[in-house]
Amino acid sequence: MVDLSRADKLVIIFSLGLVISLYWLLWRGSSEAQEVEIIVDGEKQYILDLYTNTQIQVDGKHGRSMIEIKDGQVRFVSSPCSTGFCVRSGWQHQSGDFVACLPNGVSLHLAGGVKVYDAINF
Amino acid sequence: MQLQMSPSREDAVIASFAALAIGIHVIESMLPSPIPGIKPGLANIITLLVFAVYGFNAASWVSILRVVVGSLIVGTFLSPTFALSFSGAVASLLMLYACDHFNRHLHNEKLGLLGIAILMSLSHMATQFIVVYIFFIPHKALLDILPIMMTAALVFGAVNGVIAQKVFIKIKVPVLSSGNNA
Repeated sequence: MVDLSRADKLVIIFSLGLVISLYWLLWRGSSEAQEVEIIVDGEKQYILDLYTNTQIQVDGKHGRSMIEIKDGQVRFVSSPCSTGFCVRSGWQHQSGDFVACLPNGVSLHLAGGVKVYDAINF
Repeated sequence: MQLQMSPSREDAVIASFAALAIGIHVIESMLPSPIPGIKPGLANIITLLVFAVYGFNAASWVSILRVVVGSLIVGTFLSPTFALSFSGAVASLLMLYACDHFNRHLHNEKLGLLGIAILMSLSHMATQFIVVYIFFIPHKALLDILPIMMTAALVFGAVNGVIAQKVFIKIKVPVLSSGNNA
């Protein structure tokens, strides 16, 4: 197709290696969350360490949501909603994950310990 | 008193190629992109060709003029988009300078336009990513998209490099003009 010098071939091999190693480095589920923010009715009520195993009960609009934290993961054990999406979401562990029980107004936001933005618009 | 400015032949060459690059830049900015931040960067083909024929200085003029004037036309001058565009252009020009330097000092194995295009594209994307991470979205989750961005940079860099090399052969300039530019 085009003439390639040895330097060109080296560049191609190097850049392929770079891109592949980026996938390997960044896509192995390394963005584990460190803490979970429990938000009730739009207000941040608790910030809990994900590696301190505990169960916590939170009072929402319709009743009591039970949340379990275990080995860097968090889940809704039960919640007084009819759909149960929050409970069926299961265990969450990635930084940036979000589980919400909308009827009860309780949501869990997993964060990596640094103050972050959702997005910036420009 | 009258200000006298007499543009040299090189000025005229730079201006016309910059105009060409700006045209491509503006047309490309109208195309929708599936993922923000990924675009082909076809205007860089002009930068590569100007580099191959007229050398690094002319190429850097064309590239910087394209970014500044292109942003004035599209309406993003001094906006975050411009900051990204400008930092990317500066980074890829630094890479181009390094490639030029490499070619001047290692005469047996010169980098072709394809290799240069890939290196410029990767440094362009990497720099933009660092700028976004530091100034706009300092969130770890952003790193998840880095492999995709770099893959796109590699692919489009290679495509542009191949196009530039083909055009360069067509316009029949015998050698890379490293060393004999104005």
